[in-house]
Amino acid sequence: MNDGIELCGVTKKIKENLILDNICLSLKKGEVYGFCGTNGSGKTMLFRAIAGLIHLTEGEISVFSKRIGVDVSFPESLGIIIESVGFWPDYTGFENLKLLASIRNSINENQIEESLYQVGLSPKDTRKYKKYSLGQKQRLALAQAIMEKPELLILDEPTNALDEEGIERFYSIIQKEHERGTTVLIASHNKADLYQLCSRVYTLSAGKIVNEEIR
Amino acid sequence: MNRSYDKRMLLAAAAALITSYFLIRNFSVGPSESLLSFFDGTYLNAESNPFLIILLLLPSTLFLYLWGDFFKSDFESMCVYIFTRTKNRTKWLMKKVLILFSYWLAFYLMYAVSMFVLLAIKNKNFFFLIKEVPMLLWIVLWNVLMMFPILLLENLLSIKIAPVKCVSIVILLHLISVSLLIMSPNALLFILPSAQAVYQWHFSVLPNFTILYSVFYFLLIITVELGIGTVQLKRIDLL
Repeated sequence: MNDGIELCGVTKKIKENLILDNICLSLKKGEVYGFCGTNGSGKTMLFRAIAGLIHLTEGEISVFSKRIGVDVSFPESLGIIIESVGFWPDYTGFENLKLLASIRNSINENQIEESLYQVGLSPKDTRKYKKYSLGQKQRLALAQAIMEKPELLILDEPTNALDEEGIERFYSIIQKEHERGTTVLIASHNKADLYQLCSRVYTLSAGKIVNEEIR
Repeated sequence: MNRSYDKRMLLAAAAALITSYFLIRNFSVGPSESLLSFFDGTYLNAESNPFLIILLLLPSTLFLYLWGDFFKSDFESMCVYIFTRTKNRTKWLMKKVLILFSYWLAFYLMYAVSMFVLLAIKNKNFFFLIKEVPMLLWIVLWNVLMMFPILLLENLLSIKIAPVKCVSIVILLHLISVSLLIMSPNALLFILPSAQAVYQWHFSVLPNFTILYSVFYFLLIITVELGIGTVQLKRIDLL
């Protein structure tokens, strides 16, 4: 078994709609991969499947030699940004991350603060999350994904609503994560982002992988 | 884990305090009997004024309403971030059940303390009530345990059904259950969940309606609820 990420015959139907269609993929550990495609092509659903958030109609996914839904419910060391996920609105950014970090209890407050500084947010900001701009919310999502130094990063449209400075920081973070040996999966409409960061870029259409580009 | 539930606790505590005030004002039995009677079922048996019976049930019904979306709230905001940090879905469920139980216990203790304090002030005497405290704690714990399956059911249903519908269904069932008990208690004691919570009836109504029976009933209901809840939780897609 590949010690990276292996997808074999991955299919997902919701009611009668085929969302993922027999996807087979072998991704090496420690590489950065890009996924692009139009709205509804299946990128987000594919990421949800790899993260163990949905059940497959057919097929199997293994992450770092553990089968998702069989050996483990979710990848054991995962940082993720998925569309339309928010935070608790009545807590500050730091408080939100502290609450999330208390689930695994694997990092301390200094490390949470470090992740906030990395994305350009201040841990001392006393504003509640509901007062954040879209760009700040996205930065907090990124901080949440990287703070526990995961082995796998799944990032769905990570540069949405980010300004130029935010995008520069994002590139720098991905660079550092790659140097650390993290496996990174990025979905984006922006091919320029993917070409800049990824060793391979896959194109999805109607739930299938239709193209593979090696950078 | 969520400030809005701390705020809701204040609301439930206020309801308990206000209810306690009105109930104690209208209660005519002597002070040494009154405190336990609100929680062990004697009051329910003796009181014929439907308004006061509704008042007695109001704080717990309000709690059911306010905590009906406790499980669902994680799904609505941050289920991806929360679940991907837990080892498995069952662990998340057990943790939520424990926290929910803690809120429920804290609420009932506040209710009992409100009654205790107001009754002591009314009678200008704390000491006659002190000897009741161990029994009161036991009866409050009994209420908490026996009523918990209703709160748990509400939250488990809300994982799949809209919380508003779950809250309405469960509160309606709860009120119907209590009404049936008041109208014809003996026939339905063994099967209605709300009957198990009435401590005093285990000693005075039917010979086989014992504490042991209700403990067995409770364990069975909780096991079934958690079993079905775990299976349902494992099956759903976290979208």
